[in-house]
Amino acid sequence: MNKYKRITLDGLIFQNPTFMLVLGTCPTLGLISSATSAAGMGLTVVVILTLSNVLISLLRKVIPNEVRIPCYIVIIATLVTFARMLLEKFVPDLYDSLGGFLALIVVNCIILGRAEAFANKHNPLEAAVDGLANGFGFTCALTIMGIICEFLGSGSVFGLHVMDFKIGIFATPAGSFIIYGLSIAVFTYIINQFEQHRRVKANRLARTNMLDKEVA
Amino acid sequence: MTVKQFFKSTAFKCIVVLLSILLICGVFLTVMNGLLEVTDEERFARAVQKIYGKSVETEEISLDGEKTSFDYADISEAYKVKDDGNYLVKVSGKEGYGGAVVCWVVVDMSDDGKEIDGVMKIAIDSAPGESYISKISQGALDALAAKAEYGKEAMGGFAHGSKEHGGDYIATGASYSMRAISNCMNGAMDFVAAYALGVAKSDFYTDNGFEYLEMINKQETSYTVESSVVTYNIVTAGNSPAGAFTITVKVGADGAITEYTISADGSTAQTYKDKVFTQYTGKNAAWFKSVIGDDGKTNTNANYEANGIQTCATRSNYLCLYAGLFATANYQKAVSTPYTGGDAQ
Repeated sequence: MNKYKRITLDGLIFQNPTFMLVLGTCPTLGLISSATSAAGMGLTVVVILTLSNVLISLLRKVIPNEVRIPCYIVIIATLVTFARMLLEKFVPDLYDSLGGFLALIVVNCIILGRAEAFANKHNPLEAAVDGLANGFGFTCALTIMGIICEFLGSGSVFGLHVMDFKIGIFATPAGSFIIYGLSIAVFTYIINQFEQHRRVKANRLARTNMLDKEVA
Repeated sequence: MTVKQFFKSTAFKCIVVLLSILLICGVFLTVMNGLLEVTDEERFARAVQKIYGKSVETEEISLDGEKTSFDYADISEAYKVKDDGNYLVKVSGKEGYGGAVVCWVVVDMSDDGKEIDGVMKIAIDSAPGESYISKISQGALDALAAKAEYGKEAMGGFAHGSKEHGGDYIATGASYSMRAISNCMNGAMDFVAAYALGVAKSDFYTDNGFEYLEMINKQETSYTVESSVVTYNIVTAGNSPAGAFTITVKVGADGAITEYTISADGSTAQTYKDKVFTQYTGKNAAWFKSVIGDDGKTNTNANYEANGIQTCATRSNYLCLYAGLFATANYQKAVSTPYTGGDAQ
């Protein structure tokens, strides 16, 4: 499989940071009661994660191993602060809706995790693809759960009123926790089914090849 | 290690790299901060846009010599809106979850400009530290503004009879932030009352040096003294989600409570009714301080459990304890100062 395709699929699906690695749980639980906030947070993370991955990859041969974590944190904190400034200046509504969670991106495990696990071992292009894939994986997960929570908890989707019926708990972190757990279960089930199907298919192919060889 | 060895060592390289990254990042952010800073004018324009949906003509009010600091809020800017005669006030409401919440509040004036009708609109300006601020929709703010009524004391952020308001706080999931916003409204109305109407709020208890007033409705609480026995009729503040309590407390010559009767229970209906601890007869100020602290601000289950008063109705119990502390701690003051307060007489 093409290297970039594999990185992309890993970030989006097979190593999805939210559903498979259960990273970034704090903003997930705090923000998915609103689809707009969830999507906004996800897109902000995409930008910061991609930039931090690229910068760390570029500096990987310069930064000594002993101080790599403080260096990564400084770089990530700078990018987050820069993103905060941009949002406050140009998208004040989103800035307000993200509240304290925006600053907390600095300590988001996904960003530091990808820097440590991927960016400091790969070239900038691969790191950028990994950042984009993981970022969009996080964004998709948050947005899907945000839509479900907002629909159930507030009777709306992206702020647009859909129905009068609503279940209050889904507008709170407790409801978010339930949706998060159920989403992980469903996602894992689908991935397991897919993997099982792929294994069966591979076994069948191998057996066919073996039989062909015996016949020959 | 020689100096030469040090300069060739990994430690030196680490210091140089880390400091270089810090320096570059610091310079970058300094430049960006200069370029992207949101000026006060921009903030004001945004607030006006959010509130009125258009730009309006305003006249800035000089705050020199005006009362801008209240127990529950601080005023930082104020404008008279020429288009409608209302006042636009930037106010920082205290007692949010992670600090203050800064809001723009439009104080609605009557047509002749001689009375405050209430609050027309609230817009949140900034709320650093309030993670749940996004849970407060404009609809919830509008509902809160619609209920604002001048003349009802703030009481730690909740207008008197705040049980209805409590419902709003719960619905948003950001009760502490809502309390700070409520403080903003009360602060803005008090400022405008003092500035535009010349109303100086009389405060008998503060003027006479009474202590422990934070959770007490100073306008509606009164007392009488007879034969060294002080009978208080205390109205507390709300303590979301619990609303205000009205409690009659008698304190005897020894400074201990001889009677403690709740006449209006502010606890959340159905869930905590009848769970409020009321056995305070014989308790004095020292006992109350041992439970909620010398400053009267300790409100923890652990303290309640240690003193045998844990009933699950933590916030209601706190109000009842605070009322007891107020009554007993101010006993001597009450005996020596005849009550001459306003509204409650």
